[in-house]
Amino acid sequence: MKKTILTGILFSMITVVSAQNSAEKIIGSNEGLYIGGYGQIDFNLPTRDGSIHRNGTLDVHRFVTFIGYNFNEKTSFVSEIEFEHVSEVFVEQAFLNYRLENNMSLSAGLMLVPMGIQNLYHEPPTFNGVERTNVDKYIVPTTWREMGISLSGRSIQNSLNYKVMMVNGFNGYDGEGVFSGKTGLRSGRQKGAKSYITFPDFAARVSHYGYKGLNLGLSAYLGDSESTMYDGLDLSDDASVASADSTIIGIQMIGADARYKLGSLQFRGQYIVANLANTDQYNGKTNSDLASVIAGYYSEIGYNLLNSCETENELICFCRYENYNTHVETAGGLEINEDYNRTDITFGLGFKVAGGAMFKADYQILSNEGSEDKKGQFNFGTAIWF
Amino acid sequence: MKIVINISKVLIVTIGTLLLFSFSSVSWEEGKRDWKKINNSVDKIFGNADYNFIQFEIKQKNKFSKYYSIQKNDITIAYLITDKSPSKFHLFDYFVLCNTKSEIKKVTILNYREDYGGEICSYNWLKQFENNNANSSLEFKSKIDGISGATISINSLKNSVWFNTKNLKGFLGL
Repeated sequence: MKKTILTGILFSMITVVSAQNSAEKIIGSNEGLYIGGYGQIDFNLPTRDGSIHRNGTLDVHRFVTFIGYNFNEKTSFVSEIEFEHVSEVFVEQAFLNYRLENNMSLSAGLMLVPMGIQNLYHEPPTFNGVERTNVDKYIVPTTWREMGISLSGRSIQNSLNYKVMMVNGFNGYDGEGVFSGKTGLRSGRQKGAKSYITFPDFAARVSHYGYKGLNLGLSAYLGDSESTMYDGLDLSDDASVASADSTIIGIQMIGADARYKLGSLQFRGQYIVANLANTDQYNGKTNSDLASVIAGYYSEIGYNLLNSCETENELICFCRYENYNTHVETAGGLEINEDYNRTDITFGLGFKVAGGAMFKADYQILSNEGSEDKKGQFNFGTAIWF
Repeated sequence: MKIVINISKVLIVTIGTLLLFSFSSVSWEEGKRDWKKINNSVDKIFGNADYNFIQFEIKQKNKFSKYYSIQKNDITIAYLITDKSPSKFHLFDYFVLCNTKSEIKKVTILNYREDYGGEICSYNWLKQFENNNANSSLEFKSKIDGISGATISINSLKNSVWFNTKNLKGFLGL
């Protein structure tokens, strides 16, 4: 059998001038520059708060350019440069990727932390609603990217993708406390801008896609936040060490998510919880109000109204219920602030006019447990990805 | 501060593990493995027998696509198409096996090069291509459900397979 194939290969190489009957030639090299991008342009219009008028805002919220380069079959560089609100420039990703095996690769540099759905899949046409979900903004917090190394791969037989990563932690203290009760860990992202590290943190994600239309994910993050107090610390000085120790937060974050798509119906849901240790000492040291548990979840259902029509366009109507609470539990007698227990109900339409281009419109009802009042907001936006 | 002391141990273990993986990758032989996958599929679908792959040219084709007739005793028993198609940052490699009527009997991903969208390698999902012989692009694509998180790769594969099999049909006068 094998001989015949080899003979066949040799035969075709001789008889067909253009024949290149070896897999190396079939596959060929894969060198070259790759340029792409995504973006979202938003118009947010809050409804009147009683007799109080609120202006709408128009914003080129984000525009991101991909620049990638394939050095050879195994080695590539990937980068994303982000312009946020026109004037803020960030490097969102910048890493070197090396394929160790066919289904396994090593990456090093500035990378997305694998937590939940939107931190990894945040290109605007991939999600419903003009804005990203607030669970992913206040609990995860997207776009969460840090410096480190990762190993990722897949098992096709078991329909599993996995990723493990070692990264620097959040900046929790740089002369003053960075975390807060309202925004949780969000302000502590170092984003690869002169990041510093005392404690390496670890992240991992596994997703399973074995059932038709269903994608299940489990994410975990474990580690301690960083503190500038450790730089130059005399380890023999117990008082200084104790003082520095009070400026870090132990973080255990776990997330579970599901996405289901079959025909015209689509569903997605996510739950994220983070247990934070040492918050009593941290709040005492920094005069902050960081909670010991923060959590959030959402559930969303969507339906493509054009599924049975003779078109590749999609008109998706959707509804999402979302709760995110950055004060689930507190330590050391800190009073729970019910204003931080927030609920959003969002419903709207997305008109996908091409694979990577979408017009969006939705209405959000925003409320929190600390108030009887509910706020409303219209959102209109364009979403692109190429 | 015990964690600070352990950081060096963590780095040593990590670097050691990565070095081990690096050495193991020396034995990676892409070409043989790809052909083995192709041969296994031909064996399963068209019977374990002696056959040759003869490449032929089609005028209108993708940059990387290659067309082969699979011949046994000088009689064509099937067709093989190999091609590259873009995922998010990279190109992935796949092959299609068709019978002599240009009906799709197998689609398999040979090499998928990036973390995102690897779900399209799923054998269960790829089965949706088999015997999908729709006459219009829209009907062809509508018969294949998407997977969340792999949108770009899925659309890319759908377009590429449709284009290649349509070309083969045209070449065969079907």
